[in-house]
Amino acid sequence: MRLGRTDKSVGDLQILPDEDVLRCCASGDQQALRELTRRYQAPIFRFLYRMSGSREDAEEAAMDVFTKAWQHAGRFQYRAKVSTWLYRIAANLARDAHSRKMARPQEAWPDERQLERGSLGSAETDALNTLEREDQARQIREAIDQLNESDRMLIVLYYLEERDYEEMQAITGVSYTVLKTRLARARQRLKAKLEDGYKRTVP
Amino acid sequence: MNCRDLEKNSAAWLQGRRPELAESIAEHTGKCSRCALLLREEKALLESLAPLRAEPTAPDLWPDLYERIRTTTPHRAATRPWYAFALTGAVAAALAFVSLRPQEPVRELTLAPEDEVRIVRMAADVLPAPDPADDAGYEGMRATRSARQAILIGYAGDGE
Repeated sequence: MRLGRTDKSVGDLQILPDEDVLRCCASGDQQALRELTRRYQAPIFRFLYRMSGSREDAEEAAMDVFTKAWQHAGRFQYRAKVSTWLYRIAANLARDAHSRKMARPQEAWPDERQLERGSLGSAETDALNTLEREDQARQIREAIDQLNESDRMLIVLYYLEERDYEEMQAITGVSYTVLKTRLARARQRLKAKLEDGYKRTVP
Repeated sequence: MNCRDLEKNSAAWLQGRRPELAESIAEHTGKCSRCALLLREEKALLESLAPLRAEPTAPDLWPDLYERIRTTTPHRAATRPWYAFALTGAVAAALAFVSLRPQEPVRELTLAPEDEVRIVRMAADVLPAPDPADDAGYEGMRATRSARQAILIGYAGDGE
């Protein structure tokens, strides 16, 4: 469905598929961008948070993702899913941020307890309320943080963001064979890091 | 299901996104020990990562985002200017003209033996005397052949 330039109401936009919402964005409809943001701010923020480990950096980067989506909506070719396109923008921003981070002193992952108090919803807070689980989460975060940027992105996209192979190919721009090899390598490295962490905590 | 299918779908099935694959996965891993091992490893890794699946709630980005974009408009879709289309058309037309125009048939030149002998003699008259220091036989033969060719070309061109 090709839409005209007239702005749609919020109710109209909510029932449109992503592609039509993006077409409305391309024609300058700010409410369409609001709808696109409502749909994808949670997964995009979550992905960026998992890549950066910083809530502030993730929030800033998520804003950049939707700003770029607004600016470039008219150039989207509709060959991929809109969600894949947004993840791809986010992945590029995460890579850039990682490069900048490498150029300055390393920051530790945020304390999970601090993160929970500040940001988690009630269901998730309940799930993580025991010290044991907090420690587990911290160890896993540390293990993921020790991976290189490429490995971390694959692990986060595949195991935490639940993207399938086709979407990951579109997001990372690599072939199936390369993706499969890199994912297997990232999996082995993460496994080794997790085992190292476990050995350190259990003398 | 084959090994590739299992590699692609094992995590999705373990995460509960593809429940319809249960039977085919069980059937394949019953026959393929490599895939059975992969599945066990995937399961162990996903269990390790489970504590991270508790999601930080995303902030509402819209108020700040709106402040950023309210005075801007999206970039226009990249369109080609009219002269780009005109130039493309002109180039295509030129190529079509060059490739489709009728080719002149190659004219066959036939000489009577006595004409050929005469031409070679004429060539010999205009050639410089061979240098005794050179390999006279070879050079003379080569020069004669070149001159003959040149004269033949001239002859053919003037023979219209």
